[in-house]
Amino acid sequence: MWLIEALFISFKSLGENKLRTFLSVLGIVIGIASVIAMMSLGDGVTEQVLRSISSLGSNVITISRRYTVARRGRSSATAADRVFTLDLAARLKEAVPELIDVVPSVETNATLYLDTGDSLQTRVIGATPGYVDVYEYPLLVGRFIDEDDLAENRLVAVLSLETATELFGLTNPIGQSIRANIGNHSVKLTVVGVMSKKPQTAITFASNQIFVPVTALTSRGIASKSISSFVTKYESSDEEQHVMAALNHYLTSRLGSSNEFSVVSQESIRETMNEVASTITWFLAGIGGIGLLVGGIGIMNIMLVSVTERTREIGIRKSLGAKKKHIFMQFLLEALVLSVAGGIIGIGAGKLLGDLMTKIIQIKFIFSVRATVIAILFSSAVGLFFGVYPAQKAARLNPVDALRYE
Amino acid sequence: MSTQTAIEVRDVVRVYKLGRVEVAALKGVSFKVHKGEMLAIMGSSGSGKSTLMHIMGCLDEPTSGSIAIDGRDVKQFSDSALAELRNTKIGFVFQSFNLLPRLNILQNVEVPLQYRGVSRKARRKLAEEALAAVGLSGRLKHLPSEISGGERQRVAIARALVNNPTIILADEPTGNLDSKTGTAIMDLFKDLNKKGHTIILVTHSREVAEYAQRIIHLKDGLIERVEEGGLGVVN
Repeated sequence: MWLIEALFISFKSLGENKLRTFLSVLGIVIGIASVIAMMSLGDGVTEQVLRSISSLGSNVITISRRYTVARRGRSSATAADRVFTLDLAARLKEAVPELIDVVPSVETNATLYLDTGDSLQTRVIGATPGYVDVYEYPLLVGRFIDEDDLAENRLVAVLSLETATELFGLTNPIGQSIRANIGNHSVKLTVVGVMSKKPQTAITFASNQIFVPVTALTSRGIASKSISSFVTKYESSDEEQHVMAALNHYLTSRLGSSNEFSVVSQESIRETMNEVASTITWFLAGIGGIGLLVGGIGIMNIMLVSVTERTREIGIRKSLGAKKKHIFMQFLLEALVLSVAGGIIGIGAGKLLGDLMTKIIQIKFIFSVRATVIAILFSSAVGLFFGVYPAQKAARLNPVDALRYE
Repeated sequence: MSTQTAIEVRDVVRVYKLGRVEVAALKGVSFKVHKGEMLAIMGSSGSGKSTLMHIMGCLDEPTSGSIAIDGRDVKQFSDSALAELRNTKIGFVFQSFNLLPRLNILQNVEVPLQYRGVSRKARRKLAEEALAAVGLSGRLKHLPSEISGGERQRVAIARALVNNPTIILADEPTGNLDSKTGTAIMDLFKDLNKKGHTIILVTHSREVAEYAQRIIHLKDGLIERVEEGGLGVVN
């Protein structure tokens, strides 16, 4: 009950010195706003990074060849040269039945020439039929590359939606042919299909892409026969550990050592990035926190002045029966009211700042409940921490000395 | 005639340290304040009368000796118990009124009730009653700065009375007032005394002291003499 009374007294005395109250609240507002804005920035960056990782699809494992320094005088093919070829895809699928499919990762650049004389820069992806499943990238019209295309090294192409639109506009591209310069080779490709729009736009995917049978590239010497990277997908996320172990086991037995390859799951990349991003977020919040600390010191300063100014009031109140706890709470609540009010306004200001920054720079600021809760807790803690000393000073005043104070 | 004791002051010594010098404001003072009496403590400035008042009001502690209020030695009281004692048993009236400048008259009188934990509604009623008892009924929402000195002292007296304390301690209650207003305030104390309040006046003025039934003369921290009987008849 007397706490509510003390709260009233605090509000009243804060109301009496509006400018001073405003300025000390402002310190906290700036501190909290910067913490909120910084955390929003951190969360925004985290989300962006994680989104671009997960755009690769879920339950994905990447197998890469790791090149070691060649031993002097030995130029003959090593075990790794023999293992990392197109055949590895099929062998891996055989060895680890949980895999939906294994696709080689072969990419290069190409220039496409149109009859009109225009040209278009694009990425060329050496694909196998499993690509669609592994990358969860569905076909729109026509067909994707099939086993026959692979077996016969056919010069057929599937276009990404963007490429198809740019090249052919509204005309049906199926059956049309394109002249393409891939590396130093000039080839004529027949369009057999068009991909749909990829569900998530990912930074790892150029929007202008064409897909050709991987053998069309390797057999013509456009791409190396040695394939250094494969992407694979497995059924269920519970199998991650098991599949990783099986892949490691198989490759180690084939290569004779575990030094020449790496097996990385999407999940582990995600976790690492998450950790990094979270560290960055806290670091940014820490920088914002410095402002909060300064604001807190401002409150303490004001409270100390206020205690001195009101020494006589404290003396009078004590002579009328105020206990230490009454005086203590009166001043502590003042500090708390200042800091919590600053915290609440600061959350709004931080959100506004985040929204504004989202418009100015390209990173989205994400205003989170977590940041809000932290801000409220922090501003209250600041009020408590910086309010206790002045309040204690007030409560400990000797009534006679306080009464005599001029 | 058997009388109850409101305050017993026994061998009270109060020494202040001013840097390296020790100054004895009170050098061993003993007397009793009877319930229902009006007592004056008289002395020139530096006689120790203000120190004595602060000690009797439990705002200060004696260096040695003891104070008993309603028969209980206050030495054993905790800080919090002393605050309760000041709240419920003692009412202070100061020369400079000591009203809280930013609270209105009603709120000023409500402060002791607030610390006693009286509800909002009851507080309002008790404060109005106390103000009526000192002859104030209008302008209760005014600030202390908006009323006259005499009125301010009435507010202070109402505030001292509001918790119905055993003792009212008044330190030079007319010191800041003109003689006409001062007389009115003293008449008010006399009335309150007639209604049964124990009143202790601390003053350097013979005129004010004349209102009391007993005058304790203080000089250099010691009781010089006590005038008794036949007083308290000033009209």
